[in-house]
Amino acid sequence: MNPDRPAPELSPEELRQVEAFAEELRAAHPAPPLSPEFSARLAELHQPRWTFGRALQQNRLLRVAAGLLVTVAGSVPVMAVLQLLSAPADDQPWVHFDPPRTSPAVEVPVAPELPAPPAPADDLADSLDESFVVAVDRQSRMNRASFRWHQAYPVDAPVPAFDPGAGAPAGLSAGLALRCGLVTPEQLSVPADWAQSSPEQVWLELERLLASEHPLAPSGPLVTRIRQLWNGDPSSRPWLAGWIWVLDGERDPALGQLPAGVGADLQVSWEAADRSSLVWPAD
Amino acid sequence: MAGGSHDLLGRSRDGDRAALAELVEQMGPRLKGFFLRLGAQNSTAEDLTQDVFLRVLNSLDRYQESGRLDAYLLRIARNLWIDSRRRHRPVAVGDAVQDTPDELQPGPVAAAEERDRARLLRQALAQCEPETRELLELAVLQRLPYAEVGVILGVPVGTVKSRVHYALKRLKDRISGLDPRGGESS
Repeated sequence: MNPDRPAPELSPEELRQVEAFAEELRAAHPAPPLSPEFSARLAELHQPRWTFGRALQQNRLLRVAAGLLVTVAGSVPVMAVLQLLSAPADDQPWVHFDPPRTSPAVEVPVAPELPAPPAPADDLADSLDESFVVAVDRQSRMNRASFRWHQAYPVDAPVPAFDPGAGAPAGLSAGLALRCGLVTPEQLSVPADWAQSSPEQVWLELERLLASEHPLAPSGPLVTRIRQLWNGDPSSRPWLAGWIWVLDGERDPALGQLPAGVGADLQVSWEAADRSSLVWPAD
Repeated sequence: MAGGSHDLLGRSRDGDRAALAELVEQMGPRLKGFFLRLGAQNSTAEDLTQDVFLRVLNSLDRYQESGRLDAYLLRIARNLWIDSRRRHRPVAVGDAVQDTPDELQPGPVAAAEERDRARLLRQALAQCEPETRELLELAVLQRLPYAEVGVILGVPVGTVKSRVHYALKRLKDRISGLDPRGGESS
């Protein structure tokens, strides 16, 4: 008997008998009960898993938050596309430059008329201050004398021999020390008050200035003292002749001569190094 | 069985003890009887029943609400039974009959003939071929529609119908030969 062949058409009576037998079969096989601990054991084994979908179903707040997130995330590209589609092309700013078609009017300033410079004087000396000319002459003579002084007494010149015991003052004089290069002009002291200075001190100041690198012509109290001594005591003129030449350009006969035997107080030994004639240049 | 079954399953999966108890009450005995009649021991039948529930609860997303829940559970039960038989030595036919609890048998007030008739029916079904026993289990004892049985067994509905008809006829004839009453029922 082939069980797969079509089932024959049954009469109502046969169908009732089959149904009755099936029911009898079911009644003979009741469902067996489960053990009492079955449900508890099943609940223990079944631990609900957390899933996002289930959490969405159970939590309304989470659904709202997720919806808001999706809306915000999705609205950005949508708004960008809408902005691109809705914005007219004319609204887009662009940078351009329009060159001027006409030249701007430029006002050329008129140069003011400058006053003409005065014509130069025929005699330059007449336009200058006389005192200025005098000062320049003095400084010129001072420079020339200093130049000659340094030529006459070079630094590497041999020190002239002298005998301290032969009527000369003991030790080296300040002037001799300057001429021999044993002291510098800065090492010599300068009288504080020229009004009380002696002719020898005035002479030593001339030596000191001639020996310095930048000799300046005298002025003020020193000049006044030189005039006083020159006009007062003729015996002191040998000490002052050099100054008179510097101040006035007058060559006194006493120039180049020093009083013999004087200057002991200043420890000057003019005899030991009397080369003063080499100092005063000929005009 | 389909109405509200999805909600019952969903609540059971989410940890609703009451829903799970209701689900177990509805389908637990039927599933256990299914395994017993296919030849499983009592303890094995309960374990397999439990596995059916766990598998259903853990894969609820695959369940379609339009289908019958009992058909869905029985399909899973059949697959579990096949897997179980692959792993273990086949159980001797007839064990399920012996495992049937006494309290489910007709009571002492029932007629002895009726009790003997029921035992005879169980023995006859147990002695059927496994395929026939499975067919009658699903179509007759579990009352599944032929279409659902066809889906579970993988055969057309017409084939299920004819196989059920002839299986019942053969079983009825066999019982008629064994039953001193001559196979009369009801």
